[in-house]
Amino acid sequence: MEPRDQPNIAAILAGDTKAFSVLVDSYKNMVFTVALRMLEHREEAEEVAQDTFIKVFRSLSKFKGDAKLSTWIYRIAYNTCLDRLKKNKREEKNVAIEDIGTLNLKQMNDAVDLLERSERSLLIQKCMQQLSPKDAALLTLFYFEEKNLKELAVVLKMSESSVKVGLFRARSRLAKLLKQYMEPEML
Amino acid sequence: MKDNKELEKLVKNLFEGDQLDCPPLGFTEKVVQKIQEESLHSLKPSPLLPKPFFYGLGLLLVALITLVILESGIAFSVSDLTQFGTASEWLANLSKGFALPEVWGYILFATGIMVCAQAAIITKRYSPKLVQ
Repeated sequence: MEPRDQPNIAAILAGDTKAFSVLVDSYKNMVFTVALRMLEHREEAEEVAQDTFIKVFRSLSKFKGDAKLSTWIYRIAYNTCLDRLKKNKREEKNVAIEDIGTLNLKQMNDAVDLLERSERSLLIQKCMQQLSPKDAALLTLFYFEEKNLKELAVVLKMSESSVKVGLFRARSRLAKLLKQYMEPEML
Repeated sequence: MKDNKELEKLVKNLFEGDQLDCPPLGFTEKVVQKIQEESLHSLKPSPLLPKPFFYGLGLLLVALITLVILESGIAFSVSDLTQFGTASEWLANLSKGFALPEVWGYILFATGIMVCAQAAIITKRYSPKLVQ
């Protein structure tokens, strides 16, 4: 368990709402980002993020500390997003995986180096909108939170090997989309 | 293998320029407000009067009725049941000798109304449907 979580949980369980607002402030950006990338709708992402924290508050007494608090919170967020997607009956997007050998990865990497920070951010947003919600969540959690495979497996309720395979596929799909968006003027 | 490393490098490079999205202003306050509202609604109801009071009231009523029956001089035994042919005959006979003083009747009636009224008020006030 993360040492910073310990006092928060005890205070929240004792009914301290200020302590809970500290917890919300610590994780709201990540929860909102995951929700936004999975749902692609700001209002919906905000609702889901709120629901996530309400669920966290309700079940905090059941948190045993087997995993990191952040892992536990992201799992609730991920499941809440999946529930919302199921409710909305959105069609599953699927970008076909291209053999990465056909992509000029070195050249693409050089092109990314030349991009401004804001341009990269915009490019990621465009690509994320084309990826499936699961791929978007996987990449976001892996690269932003630097979660390891074991933690990702807990969040996504998958085996570590499935996470590894999923991560490779998500990266390949992202690279394919990246190529589409960057060509021809950049490459 | 080399391609895989290149791919990892590319995606990592790309994400280095990315930043987290922020929820709208007042997000935390909204969540805390919702939780406070929820906490208020989830307060567990407790009756206005403690349970032992109702047990005591019940016992008092039973004692009162027993006293009234005894004072009115009704002798009751199992053999009585055999004497009377049917239950209706037995009840008719019982009511004949049941001389309830008028004041006790009023007391019993008023107590009954009070208990019923309080039960109705408590049920209505703490009905889960109304609370939610």
